[in-house]
Amino acid sequence: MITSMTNIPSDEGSGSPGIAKISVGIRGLDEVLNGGVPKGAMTLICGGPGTGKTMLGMEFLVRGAMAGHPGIMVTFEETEMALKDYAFGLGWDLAKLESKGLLTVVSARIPPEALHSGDFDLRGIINILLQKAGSMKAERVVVDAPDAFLRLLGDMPKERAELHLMQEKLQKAGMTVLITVKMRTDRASSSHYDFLDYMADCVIHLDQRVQEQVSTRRLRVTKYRGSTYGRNEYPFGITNQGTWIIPITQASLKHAGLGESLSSGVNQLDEILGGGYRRNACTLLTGNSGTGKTTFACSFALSMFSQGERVLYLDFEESWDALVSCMLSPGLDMRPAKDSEKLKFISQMPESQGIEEHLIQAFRAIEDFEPQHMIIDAISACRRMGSDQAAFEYLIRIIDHCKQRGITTLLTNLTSVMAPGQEITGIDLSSVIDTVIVLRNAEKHGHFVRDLGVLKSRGRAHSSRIYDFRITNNGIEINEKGVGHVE
Amino acid sequence: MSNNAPTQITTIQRCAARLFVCGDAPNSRRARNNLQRLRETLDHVEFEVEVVDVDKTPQAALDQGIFVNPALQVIEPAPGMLIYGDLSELTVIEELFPKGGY
Repeated sequence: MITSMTNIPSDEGSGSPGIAKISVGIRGLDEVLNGGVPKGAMTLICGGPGTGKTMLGMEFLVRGAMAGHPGIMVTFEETEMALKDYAFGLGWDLAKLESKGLLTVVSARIPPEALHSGDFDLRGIINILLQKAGSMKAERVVVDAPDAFLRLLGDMPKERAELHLMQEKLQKAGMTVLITVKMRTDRASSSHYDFLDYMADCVIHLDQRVQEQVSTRRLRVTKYRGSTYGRNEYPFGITNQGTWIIPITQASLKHAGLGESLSSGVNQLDEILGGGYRRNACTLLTGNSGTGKTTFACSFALSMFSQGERVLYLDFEESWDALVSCMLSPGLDMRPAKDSEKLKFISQMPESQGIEEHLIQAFRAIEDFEPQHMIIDAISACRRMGSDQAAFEYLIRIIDHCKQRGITTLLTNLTSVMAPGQEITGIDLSSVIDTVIVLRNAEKHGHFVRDLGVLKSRGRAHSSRIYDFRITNNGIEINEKGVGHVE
Repeated sequence: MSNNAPTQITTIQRCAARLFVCGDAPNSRRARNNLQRLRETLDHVEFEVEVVDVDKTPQAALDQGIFVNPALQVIEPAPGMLIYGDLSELTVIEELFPKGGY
């Protein structure tokens, strides 16, 4: 069973009085947080090892620094050099920001050769932080992995007292604090640092999990005092340009309306559809293996190319070379479209990465290439991103994103023989699909013949008949007389 | 001067250090007291300890990379050593200065 994916923070959230917020500047996170983290308060970022806590904190400071807001990072776990190297990998030159007085990185990591004799506290580092903040006029502080240090106290009440002291002193000075702590979100038993959940004003959990051997990252906000927020789990990726969270938010309700008719590249199909596909609509071509789904998709791509429009083709089943050679047989030469950079082709094995990476790759291609149309061949392969749920989350976000941007989407779907009453996409996507064309292989008079019918087409009268069609050396030919009515 | 002879009893040793404290905070107060006890216990060590109050001069602690308080930064004998905590476990330090020398 697919669970609900939509998360719609209510409208009053963005304007909730009394809660001052600071934009985090991280793609998608401000949307989930309805504007950003609480100003002058403490936000907890927790998660297991390698979930991206430190880099999320670092990005908050870097984005702030780039916008002219100085910040301080104090880490109890990493060396300054290691942190700078990681940041460099994401394209951020911390030394440069430091030289401009916009960032200070302090490694308060205890050298491993140091000796330990009795109790200690955080007062020193708090003093250092406050002095540094005063001199740089910084109001943003990230305290990274204080747990690595406080565990040495070996006494829970003392650890708690130290964290309380830090929170109190920094907040009194008007600082907005992000604190990262190691915590496994999948553990049922209570964690060592559960009390931080109560202490913090806003709590963000990061998680990395494996679904069907595919690793995937998730972000969830579990608490936000005095503010509404997106309550679901959101996929996120760590890219070479920072963190990217992919929410579905209230923006989903701002889809553009269906536009004018676009030629499918097959004349008779345009007539059957009452004019062709619709701009900004989502059309599904569904059928068994060998029914011509990809041929229809490529016919559309070339039709749009002939109009000078750009098409993004996401192929989860075959390579560019394989597609080109297969399409030459029905007379569809894809090469000129790609050579003229009107067609962008991305081929990827679905299981090669988690959905967040697939989404980010697609979103980035949409951003860079600005296509008017997108083809996904085939949505059925998306299950290999981890599960039915993963495929659903991937596709719903892509289609949502395209609909908001006025991009036409054409999906192909490989089905086994369809049982009566079966959901048309196999992934519960029917509600976002405007037009469904069913392609079939039928046996007639000792031959396999192909036929098609339009099962649904929103906002347009369309033929309800079933039509025979052939794939010729010169594209698809549909028998205009049809073969009968849909039962 | 040789330290190898088994009959040698004590070698006077020198210890130059900085004690980083935060004003009169409980741990810092204890560290001062424990240091005084150390001076009395380790009478074969000549301590020369500079006390740095991080409340007053946080920059000094930042310059030295001392973020834990209290902390005893041993400068001599070389190569130096950092001991963090209120120095309540005296054996940690006693072991650094065996009576027979190194």
